[in-house]
Amino acid sequence: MLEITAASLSRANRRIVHDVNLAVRPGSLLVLIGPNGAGKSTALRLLSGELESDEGSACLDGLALGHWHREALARRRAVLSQRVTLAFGFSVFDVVAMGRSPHPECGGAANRWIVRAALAAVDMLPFAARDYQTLSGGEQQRVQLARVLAQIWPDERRTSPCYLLLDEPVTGLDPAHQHAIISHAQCRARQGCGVLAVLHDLNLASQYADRVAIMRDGQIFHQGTPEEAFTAERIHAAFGVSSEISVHPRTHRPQLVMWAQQA
Amino acid sequence: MTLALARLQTGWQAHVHPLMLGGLAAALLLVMGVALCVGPMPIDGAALLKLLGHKLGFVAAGASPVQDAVMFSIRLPRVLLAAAVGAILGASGSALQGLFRNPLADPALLGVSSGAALGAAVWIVFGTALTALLPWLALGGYARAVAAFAGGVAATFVIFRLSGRQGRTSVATLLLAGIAINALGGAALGLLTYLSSDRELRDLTYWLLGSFGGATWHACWLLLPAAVVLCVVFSRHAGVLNIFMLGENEAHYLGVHVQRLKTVLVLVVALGVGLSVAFTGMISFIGLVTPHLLRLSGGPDHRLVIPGAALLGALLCVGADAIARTLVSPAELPVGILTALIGAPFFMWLLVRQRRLEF
Repeated sequence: MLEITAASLSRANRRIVHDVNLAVRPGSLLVLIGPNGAGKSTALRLLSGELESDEGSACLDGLALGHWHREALARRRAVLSQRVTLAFGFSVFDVVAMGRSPHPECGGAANRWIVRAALAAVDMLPFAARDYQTLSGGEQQRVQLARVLAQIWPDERRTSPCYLLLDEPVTGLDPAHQHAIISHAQCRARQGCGVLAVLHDLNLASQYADRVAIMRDGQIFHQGTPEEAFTAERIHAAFGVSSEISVHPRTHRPQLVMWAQQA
Repeated sequence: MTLALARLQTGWQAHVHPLMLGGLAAALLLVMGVALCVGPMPIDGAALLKLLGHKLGFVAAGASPVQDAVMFSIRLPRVLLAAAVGAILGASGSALQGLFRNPLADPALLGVSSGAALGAAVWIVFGTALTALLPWLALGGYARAVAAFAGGVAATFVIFRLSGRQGRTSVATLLLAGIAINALGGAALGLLTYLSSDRELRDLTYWLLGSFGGATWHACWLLLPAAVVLCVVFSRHAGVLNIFMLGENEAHYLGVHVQRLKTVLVLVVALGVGLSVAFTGMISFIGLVTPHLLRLSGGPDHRLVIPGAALLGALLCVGADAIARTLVSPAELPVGILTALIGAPFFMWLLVRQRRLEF
């Protein structure tokens, strides 16, 4: 299990996250939602081990992230950041191949096969030879996703579960690719991977999440199943929008229609 | 990690990289041979081979003693020094451009060069007065080199202190700190030129323009091993530098020890550039242009760019020095002027070309 416990972080006397408990469990897709500036990305960076909290702890399998060997940690958890720009024009294949760098023991042929499989998973295999810098924003995002998928690609020799942390993985993508990518993340969770995704689209969150965590003002406001989390009162309290919530007849998940709060 | 990436290379790169590096090495040897032959006293190819063969013990009889003296006490150390400095500048430029994820980074930008220049300038202007007081300060003629080296390391230290925060180094602040150090160094140099006497001013200007004219075997024995060590260190980090192109956070997520990478590379650059500025002054544009040329012809992979830029930098320095020696013979141009004169317009052409390709 990848978790942060009672984590607090302040910068320049401003409290960014306060007393946050979050656990990413193998086999489950946890979606983190909340308004802008609620501390979602910071919580994700604390979980990744990139930031260290002032108080509280961050552990993978009970061992503090700071005590993990860098490459061992990189083999267990992959992180997709909001926007990745590349300084020089590497090919799409090379960018995804960088995701395999913590796995020298796999051998070149196996790693190349994984790179191609990861590109195929995000529908980008035909672009393998293209210069990354010439791709559109959405295509670049999918290549970066392929890179993090390749980093923790399933391996029959591995027994311990992997973790995937996705910071707004579908922002800027068209609907087809939004759903393709979230359902791929869900599929990874079904295979035993622990997945955390930060999302802004509440209906997308409701449709795919196993659990939902709502953040507000640097704190966890609510955590639970989509059915528990999505009530009109909570959505109003967290996001300041009015909403009407029904259960969709096909997905049996809460479906939201929202409108701006009347003055 | 580097090995894993090497095996991941797509087919054509694996064949192109050794070919390009081999071609560059052959071209470097050729240019060095030509540079050894040209000068106020021409030595033809046969005589060159005879001289080298005699020195190595393959040929019984050498050439004339005059040719022998010109070759082994003037030209060979000069060509070797130019090659070593060129390799240091080329490899440092490509490592810094990778580290800063910025194609405009270069040792001069970081402030290392101007720190070293300031150190040497202080010695040129105040050295005579200081040695009159404390004769041991002359350090057997190496005082100026030591001052330049100390200036380079001091500048790097200050830049690191300015940009380090909570055990991390911000690359953007590092660049801005470099600009500040350059401004400070420029002002201090200006003040020193204002204070200097006529003779000191001439020394100062000539040295600032860059020249391999002061080449000695002592300088070679310092700079050749430095160049080799620097190229080996950078080449070993080439695979990690490729990953670094994704950004600091991404490199961190992939298991790269980002802080150690930055510290090692910047310190090695400071050592190499401090040494080369100490012996040859400011030689501009080699560090900036060579990585660009490599990237344009063979792609951005640092496993090609770093060793390639070292070879190409050596080639350009040796070639430029040969031209600087012969163009206005028997006098000579400062080679720094020549590299800037050729390098700057060439760099502009590169920028124009790149823009045309992009749009």
